[in-house]
Amino acid sequence: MTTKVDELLNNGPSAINAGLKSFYSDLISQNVKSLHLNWKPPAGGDPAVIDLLDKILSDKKLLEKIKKANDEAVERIMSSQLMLVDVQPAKDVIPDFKGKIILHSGPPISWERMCGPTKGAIMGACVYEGWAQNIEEAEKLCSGGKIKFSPCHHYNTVGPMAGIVSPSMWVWVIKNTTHKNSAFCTLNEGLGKVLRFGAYGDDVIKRLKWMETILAPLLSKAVKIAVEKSGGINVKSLMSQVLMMGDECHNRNVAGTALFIKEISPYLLMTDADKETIKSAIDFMSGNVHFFLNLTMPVQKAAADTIKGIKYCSLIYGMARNGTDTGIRVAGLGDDWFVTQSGMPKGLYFAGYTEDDANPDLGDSTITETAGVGANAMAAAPAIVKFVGGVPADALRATKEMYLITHAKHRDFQIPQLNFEGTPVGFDIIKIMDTGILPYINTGIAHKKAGIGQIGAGILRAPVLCFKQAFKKFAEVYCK
Amino acid sequence: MIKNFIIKNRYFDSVMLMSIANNASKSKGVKNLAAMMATENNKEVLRNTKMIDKTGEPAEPNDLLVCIDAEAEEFFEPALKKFKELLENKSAAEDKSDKIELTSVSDGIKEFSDSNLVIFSIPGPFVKREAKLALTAGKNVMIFSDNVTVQEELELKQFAREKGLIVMGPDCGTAIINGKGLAFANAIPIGKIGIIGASGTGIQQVSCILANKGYGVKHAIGLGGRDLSKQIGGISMLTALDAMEKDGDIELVILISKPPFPEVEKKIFDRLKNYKKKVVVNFLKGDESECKKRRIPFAATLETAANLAISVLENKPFEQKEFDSDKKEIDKTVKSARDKIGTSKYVRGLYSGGTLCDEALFIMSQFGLEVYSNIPLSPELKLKNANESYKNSLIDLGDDEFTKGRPHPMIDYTLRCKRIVQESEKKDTGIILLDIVTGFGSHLNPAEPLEEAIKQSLKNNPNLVFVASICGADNDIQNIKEIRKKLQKLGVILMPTNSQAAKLTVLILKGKVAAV
Repeated sequence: MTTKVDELLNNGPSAINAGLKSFYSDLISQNVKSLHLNWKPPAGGDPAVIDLLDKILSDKKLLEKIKKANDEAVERIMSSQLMLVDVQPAKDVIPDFKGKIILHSGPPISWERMCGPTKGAIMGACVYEGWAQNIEEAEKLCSGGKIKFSPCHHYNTVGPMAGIVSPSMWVWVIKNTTHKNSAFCTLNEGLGKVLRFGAYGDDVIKRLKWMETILAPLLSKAVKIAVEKSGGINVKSLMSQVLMMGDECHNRNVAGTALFIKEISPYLLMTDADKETIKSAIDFMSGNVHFFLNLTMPVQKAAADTIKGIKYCSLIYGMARNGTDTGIRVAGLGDDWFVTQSGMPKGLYFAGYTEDDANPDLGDSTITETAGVGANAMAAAPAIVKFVGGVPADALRATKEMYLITHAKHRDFQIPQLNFEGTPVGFDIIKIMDTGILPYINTGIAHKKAGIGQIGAGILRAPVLCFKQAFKKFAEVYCK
Repeated sequence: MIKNFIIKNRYFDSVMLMSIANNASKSKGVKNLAAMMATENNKEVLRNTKMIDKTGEPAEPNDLLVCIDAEAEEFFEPALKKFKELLENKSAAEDKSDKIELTSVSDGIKEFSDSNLVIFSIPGPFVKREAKLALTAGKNVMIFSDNVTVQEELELKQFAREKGLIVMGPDCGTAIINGKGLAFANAIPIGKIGIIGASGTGIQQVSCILANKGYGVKHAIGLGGRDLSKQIGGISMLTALDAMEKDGDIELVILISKPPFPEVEKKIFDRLKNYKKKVVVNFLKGDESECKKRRIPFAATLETAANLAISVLENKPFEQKEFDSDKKEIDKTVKSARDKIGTSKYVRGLYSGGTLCDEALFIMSQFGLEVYSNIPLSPELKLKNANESYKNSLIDLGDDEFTKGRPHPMIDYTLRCKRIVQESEKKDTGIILLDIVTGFGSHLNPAEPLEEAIKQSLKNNPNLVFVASICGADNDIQNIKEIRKKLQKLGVILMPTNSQAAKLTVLILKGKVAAV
């Protein structure tokens, strides 16, 4: 009888090499067909978690249930049709958003533990709302427990960076017409010294007031007309297009912003607004390459939320940072957040700033990655890698790597550079534990002090600890 | 003063970290710099060297822990910055293609389903799980890693045996399969000989002697040092014997190991009854009586094993020869060396290959020389402190106490070169004896660090004699001719094999005694 050992000796080695790369190079130099693994310790190297992982991986019945649940989950995400249907003040349209309440990005956090930019943005919002005359008063108000703080995520909402939403701010209303849920996000204020990066100067407040009184009501009228004419603006289909145009819908929104302006302009012209007002709105949108981000985010939120509560589902539907902590939520584990300290992005800084000035990772914008774009679609946006001094091949690798920890390829979001393969969608905590690979996050970088604003943009990986915690809980719940 | 820095959630392999740490430790004002993944084992190493502090203790296994010992506060930041730069450059330089590297064994097997072997050089505590995955998928396994428990080894080997697979290792440094070298192997031509060995350097030395005499090796199967122990019972040895027997190209099999546990030895001898290939048994430092009883050719040293194998293969009577060169030439060499070193001098052997060190100790003892060591032949010859030579001393610098948190001396000559210079400063050092192991895996240009250290030593002591042997094959990736030329130019006496180098050393020292 021929054994596998005999085959090895007869045919010579065809080897997989886990560990030292030099062993692989030596094999290649001898023309031995080989594959090198950039081996990483599974489950963060934690023996107890590895045991749980093996328990799950060896339970065929359980794996089948998980697969079925995950198939259902990505199907819900991909089948979602996502339309921009309205623009309204937050207090009028977000359910239960009543009283002196301010929403922030990331998992829940107390005022004391909030980072500089988030505090800055909240104080700015208090002044904007007229709850405080100045920043000093605002601070007293906030530390005195007079304001209710809550994660955007708890109100079907997402917010970039500090993610501050206060009652008078207007929000985009995205409707998931397939699954009948909605999601909300404020209008993007622009770059540099802006509230979401923690700036709160007079110019910031003035801009927010202009958005509240001029821009948002005008866009609201235009969107209403769009709804009448064609059921609204199909933002998801715009996102599919911009992936073909070099955007990844998180940190690069150049094409998306242009496309949106093209889409909304006829409707703006159909409103009763005067030319000057329309021009000021178009100028404002044109002057901000990230205007489209606040549309891709609620679109992804409205898609991701559909999988919450699917039993046995090991995919995450929430991943968000508040500048102090990063948290994730897993579909099969309901409302729970699994939280750990936020990482530091590696990136490109505006002149005069360095990594020492940077705040830890911040914002709900990782909702884009959560439902399959952003860093997952980096291959479509090679220009992004300039943030970390990389080359376009790095962008391709980033996307390819994300396939290893996601459940499916998104049929509506395709990447021309990868022969129109779908983007990786549905981060699977089991795969993340098994491969040791962590999700990439593309992000803006805020100054760690309140009141300064954006100082750069960059890339990082989500921290392993929250996935480990979530995985432990998942094993506890589903592994009998 | 010591300070720790944690770099969260970044995984790097230890060899890369060590080479970078080594480089960064040359920063100004830095006494020592260690960088390790913060596993419990590694933290223990750092605790022992007192490099870890309160900041470092909470680091998680997935974090990179950088410990710096600097002369003053101002030196920490620049050293850390240098370290990080080197780290990033290294990772960036790794690969600029758009191909990604898979990370998990299961993904690797999915991608390369035709593979027939998985090689592991990963931290020991993870080996059992990962190797089991490979075995379950029907892949043979070679485990270079150490720190795998006997229980784990047994479990893996039993599992493999049931499935008709082999586990080479743990701690298997060398293998040759169908002429292809794995891990630390030399460029050996394919031939009629098979080797099954529990020692990596043992396999290297025997296969190199064979190759240098024009004989090829088809397979050399590594077993790991514990395969022939009571607990493991020679499972992989038996599997390897079966496979070699079925290989039509193989005419002779050499078994290299320390003397096995008696019951295991019996099991192997039983298996060798009516074995279809010629066999040479090379139980290092072992006793020939059991083999004699069974008329199996036996050798106690690596060189004898190789030469015996050639005689058996050629059906020629075996003649024990001490040296390749004729007596006259050896006498001349011995005399001039003896004249040079003067009286009351000792040999200081600094080895990178443990088995080679052991072989030299054995040969010297057979010639009646008492030699101290960190891996002594008998307990009373154990060095109190492996960092301090005493009388005649041979040190295995590849032993665990030297390799914890450091690359192996075959890869990195830093420690050995430091030690060469240190020995040269001692007045009673007459001979420095070295092994130079080449081939895949080893230092690409060992002559470079050695030249510098030897020059410095000869400056310290112009009468010092260097005796060395190269454990290598002509076609190795290192340029062996060039290495020879460079060392001979410095006056190093280069012997063809380790055992001849050991014998020559004894002659020089003994002759010295005789002259007194």
